[in-house]
Amino acid sequence: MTCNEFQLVVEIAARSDSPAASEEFSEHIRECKDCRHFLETQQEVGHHLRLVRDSAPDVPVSLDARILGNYHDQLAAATARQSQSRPRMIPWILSWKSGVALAALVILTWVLATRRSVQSTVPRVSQAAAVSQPAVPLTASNTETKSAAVIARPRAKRARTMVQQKPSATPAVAAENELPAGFRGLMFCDALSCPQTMEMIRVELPPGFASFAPASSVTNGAVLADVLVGPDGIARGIRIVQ
Amino acid sequence: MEKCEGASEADLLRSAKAGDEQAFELLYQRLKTGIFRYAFFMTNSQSAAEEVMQEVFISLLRDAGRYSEDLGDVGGFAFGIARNLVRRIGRRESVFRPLPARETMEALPASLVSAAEDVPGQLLRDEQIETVRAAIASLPEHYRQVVVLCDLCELSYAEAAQRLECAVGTIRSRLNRGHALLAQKLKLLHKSPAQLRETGTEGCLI
Repeated sequence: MTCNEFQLVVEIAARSDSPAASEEFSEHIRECKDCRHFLETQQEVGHHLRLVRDSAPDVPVSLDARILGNYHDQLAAATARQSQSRPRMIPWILSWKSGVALAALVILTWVLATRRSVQSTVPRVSQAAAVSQPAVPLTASNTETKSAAVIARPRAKRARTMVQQKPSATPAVAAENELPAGFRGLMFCDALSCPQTMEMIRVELPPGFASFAPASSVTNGAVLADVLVGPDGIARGIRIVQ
Repeated sequence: MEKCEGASEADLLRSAKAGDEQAFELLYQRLKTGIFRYAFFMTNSQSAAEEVMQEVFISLLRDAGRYSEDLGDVGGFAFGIARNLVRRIGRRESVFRPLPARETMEALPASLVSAAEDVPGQLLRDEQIETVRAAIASLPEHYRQVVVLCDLCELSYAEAAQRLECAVGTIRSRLNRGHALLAQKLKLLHKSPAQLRETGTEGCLI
């Protein structure tokens, strides 16, 4: 028997609590001093460890009760969390849905408001101009209407839309026959719809009109134009100021 | 309770998590002794062992979602939690170590009352046990883990290797060296506790 085999036998015997007694084993103990020492050490340590092992306290009954109590608390907390999380979901969904609905409402309102304002822009511009500017005979081709242009400026931005949208509906040939030279018709214009007396106001158009106007008429990025407005407040023609 | 008897620990854990109290009780009965003994011998304190036990079962249910049967049995999972807690307690307690005799003195009256044998013999044995516990507690952690698991919690080499995630051969060699070191320390028992701690790890390579 080798020393390794001897130690293995000792280990197995120690773990199975059975004495490792055999002829070979006893002979090896007598011959090998190291293994004898190993066996003594194992026996001594084993004795002490058994003593400690047997002295281990049992799990206290109070601890069992506490752990079971903890389990009940955990279950109750989990149930409470679940019941709290359900009502929370509804307001969250409501708020999400209401948010979307609100956004849709705002967009719809904005679209409607934009359409309405486009339709009502030109009369407003004309009315504002009529209030601020005394009637100017068509024959008087002076362009001294600077103050009106300043007042009408914010609304002239809206008038731009009208000018861009409506030309297709305007019979340009008829309008050119009735309007003074240099004016472009903004609507159908004949002797009946374009009376002899119309107001002319000067407006400052936004810089976007710069491409349609000669460079000399562009002032500080804005474009100056004369607009002919009928007695009904509707613009009949426009002329970029040279 | 009968319906749970044959269930695996993983099934019991799932049922307990779902609110089955019987499953929890059965799982607790299966695991409690091993975890308590491990925590008690590693910390050398009953109050610390009770703290570990409570935390283990709270964490076991809380982190049940993280458990997978591929990683091992529920006992191993619980043991991993216990081992981390024991380490945490060890770090916490390292700044303040009570005198070894204190707990003996607290335990003494109870042992005197319950013991039928003679008082001097009981006293001597209690003292001996306390000293061996102190010797085990003074072992380096990797030896102490193996000694506690194999000798005190009576796990097989294979089970200990699974718990500590190392080879069976490593467990064997650590146990042998742990025993050698323990024997060396036990020889100093009748000398002084200070010398007990000063004993090195000569001959212990792992």
